[in-house]
Amino acid sequence: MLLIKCPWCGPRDESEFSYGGEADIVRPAEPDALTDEEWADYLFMRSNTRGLHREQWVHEHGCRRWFVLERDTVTYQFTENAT
Amino acid sequence: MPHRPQRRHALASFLNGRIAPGPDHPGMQLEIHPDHGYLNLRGDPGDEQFLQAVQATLGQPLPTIANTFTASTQRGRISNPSPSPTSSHTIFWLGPDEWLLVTGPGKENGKAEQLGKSLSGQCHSLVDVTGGQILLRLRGSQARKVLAKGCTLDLHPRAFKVGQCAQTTLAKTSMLIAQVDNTPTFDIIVRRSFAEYAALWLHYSGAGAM
Repeated sequence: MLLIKCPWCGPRDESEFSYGGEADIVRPAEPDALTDEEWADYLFMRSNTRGLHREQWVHEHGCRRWFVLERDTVTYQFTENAT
Repeated sequence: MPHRPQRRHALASFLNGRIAPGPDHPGMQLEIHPDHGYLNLRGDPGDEQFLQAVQATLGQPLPTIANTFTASTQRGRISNPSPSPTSSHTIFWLGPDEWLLVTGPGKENGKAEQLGKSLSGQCHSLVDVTGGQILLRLRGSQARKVLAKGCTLDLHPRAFKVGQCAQTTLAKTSMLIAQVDNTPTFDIIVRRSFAEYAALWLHYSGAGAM
């Protein structure tokens, strides 16, 4: 089990959280202007990083807030104070 | 005459039938307080006007420290409280911009009206969620041990003290747990549809803990 540090509630058990996938993916400002490939890339394609990975979590059974953490996908270690 | 639906609390049939509120275990009593009112309030804690309007209306500040609550009586801060349920109201921190106001029985409409008036024109959300939850009170020397059986929260007195609350899961059920005194007494607010399961779980876990 991971101990996940919610920015509001502090360290809580993984079972209180839900995973929200890769962070920092920005919705294109003008979806109409995109080709199908570009749109599919935005919707479906993720980096599948080996190593440090910025990802979204939601404290679902706690304060229900979304936040971003950096985790090493090899060791599962969270980076302290990542921005 | 139009039919006026009567509010029935989540554990009405539970109380009438299968298990009486007891049998009380020597180290743990489980009480059901079904009649409180609940208001969900959201607003910007960085907005002084908002904070002041709420404080002026309720006579107590909104808790802006995460996972704490404020009680209008001093019940939450003394070691030997009266056994009566929350006499006036208690405000629980739910999120950085969200609070749960638990009022005395039948007081939710009046409080909502007062708050609505003093916050009119300001950005806020105030929702009466009274039908949706129920308060269970767990008290006794074994209460902490019973909670710890089904909860991942660090409940050691060093980490979880009187005046603190936490939304967490107990036996896989989302709920809010608050420590109200050092007996210890814990108030547990659970959603209506999970109330019977939670009450049964606490009842049987308490029996097994002795």
